[in-house]
Amino acid sequence: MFLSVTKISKYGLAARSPAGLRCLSHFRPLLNSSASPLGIDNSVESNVQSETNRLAKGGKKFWKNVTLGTAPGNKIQVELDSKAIRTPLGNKLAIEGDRKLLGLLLQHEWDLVPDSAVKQHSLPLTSLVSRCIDLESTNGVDGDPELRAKIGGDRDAINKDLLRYLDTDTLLVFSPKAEYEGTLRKAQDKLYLPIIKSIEEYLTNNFSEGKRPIKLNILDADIHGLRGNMQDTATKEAATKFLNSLSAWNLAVFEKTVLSSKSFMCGILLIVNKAFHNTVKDLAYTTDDIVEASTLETIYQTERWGEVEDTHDVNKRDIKRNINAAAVVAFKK
Amino acid sequence: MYKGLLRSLVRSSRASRIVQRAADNKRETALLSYRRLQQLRAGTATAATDAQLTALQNADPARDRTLLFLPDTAPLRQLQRDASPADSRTREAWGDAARFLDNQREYGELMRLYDLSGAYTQQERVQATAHRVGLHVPQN
Amino acid sequence: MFRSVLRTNAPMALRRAAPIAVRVNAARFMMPTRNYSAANKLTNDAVQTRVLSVIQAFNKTNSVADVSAKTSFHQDLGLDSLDTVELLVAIEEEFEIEIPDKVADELKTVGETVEYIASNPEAL
Repeated sequence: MFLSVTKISKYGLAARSPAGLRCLSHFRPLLNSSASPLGIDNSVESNVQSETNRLAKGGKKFWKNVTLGTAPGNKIQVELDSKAIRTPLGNKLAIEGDRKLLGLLLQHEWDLVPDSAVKQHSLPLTSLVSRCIDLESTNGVDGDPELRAKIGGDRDAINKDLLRYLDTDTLLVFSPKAEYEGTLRKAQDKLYLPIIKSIEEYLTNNFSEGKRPIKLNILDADIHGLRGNMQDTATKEAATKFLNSLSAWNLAVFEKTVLSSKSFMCGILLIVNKAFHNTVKDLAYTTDDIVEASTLETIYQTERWGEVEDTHDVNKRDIKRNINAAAVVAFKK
Repeated sequence: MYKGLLRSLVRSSRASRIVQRAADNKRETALLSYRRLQQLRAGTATAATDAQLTALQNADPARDRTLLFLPDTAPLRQLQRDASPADSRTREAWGDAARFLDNQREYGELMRLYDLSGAYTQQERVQATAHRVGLHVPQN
Repeated sequence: MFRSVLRTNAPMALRRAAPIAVRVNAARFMMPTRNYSAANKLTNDAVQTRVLSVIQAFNKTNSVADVSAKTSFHQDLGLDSLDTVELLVAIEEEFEIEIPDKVADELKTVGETVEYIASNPEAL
């Protein structure tokens, strides 16, 4: 049973790919009983072979009850018929006791899994939390470097990938004034400029060598045309320091936010407000604000051209569910 | 705060349970139809099976009002007791949770609507197309 | 209801709409009554019948022989304040409305609830 659960939650990794839309068949291989290469308890595997076969054949879920159990270290874990769900690396899906809201939502997520046809998008919280837990376990003191590489969990590599988003951050790219009669540009100025200023201050005060002022380079279509954008070395260093200051758990949340919003800065806003106890008024932004900032251009496109039925409204909900999921996973009482 | 999250939980739970019920009913119908066929071949009475089939066909999970309630609100209540409603961070987190649930549900519905998740059967697809222009597919 | 999803760009449309399975099924019998004109406003009786069915479906209510407009959620049905919230959310879903918190706090009986819904032009 552990085996098949593990495979379902392997979605954790699949779901990370930016192209959100994969078909149902994508899930099928996860339900069959072929051996998984990852850290699986083999003693359990043989016991549950028939169960997993049944699941694969009938497409039926193999558990009746989803409950929250307790785990060592004052943790809570999601259990199917009293057995812990496991992450892709075989870790128990156990979370800290002060994340009870998340626990409730994880339980709800598994409660909703239909008897058949589990969709790739059905377990977003589970996949994010799995990523958090596996990043933690492989980056801990006795983390296995091989497993770390397997899940793309090397922190330097993650940092490097994420830093690229700061060069072309959604919140740093300004549209020409000629577009949308200048309304989009006006909205961008109004929304982005204060965020840029606050984040510059945040990085300066907390992560800059000798508090040298950090400046974020923007890309203004009217001035710069269609060229690339690059941040200064000092900015990159401060941003790297910020990344290194994050726990593995929060790094996974940050990563999710940045990939969803295409914005490093949205990631900072989310972490500062949801994972930390933010007291800086200028940095206070809600998930709605973050979604708005990262989708501003789409909002104007939609107003102008109308909604392209099956892309805009799906994308809109996709980013909203992802940002709010990140917020819930970040939150700690 | 409690009501908002409860509402979102009810909505997402109801949506999935309706889909689930409908799938169950379909499976059950197929099973009963097969049994009826066997009974016909064996020359035994099919009245009981017929009645079950009719009942199934008339069962509309969307109208089942027990689905307007969460099966178990105890965990939510416990959370409410532990939470400090005066704390703005907590309030916002509950709101984030509700927004997550709403958008996750709507996302799933749209995936179904636009047939992006491959979850539709051919019949459902035809029905959906007909409904879009205000028509109904005739029964049988 | 089905139409409302397709009226994209209206952010409320989806939030208010029931799940797709409902839309497909419900469309069959709800279509004729679905426009908002006053002529099709829900009558008190129709609302009451449906409210009673919702109450019946709630497993936390005392078994009360006959529920009427005077029936109180707390005194007669034995619901505490959180139970009442559960019931009101179910009723909201039944009629596809959202009752503002201020109003909801004041709804203590079946009759008051029925009256509020019947007077709400958005109730379906």
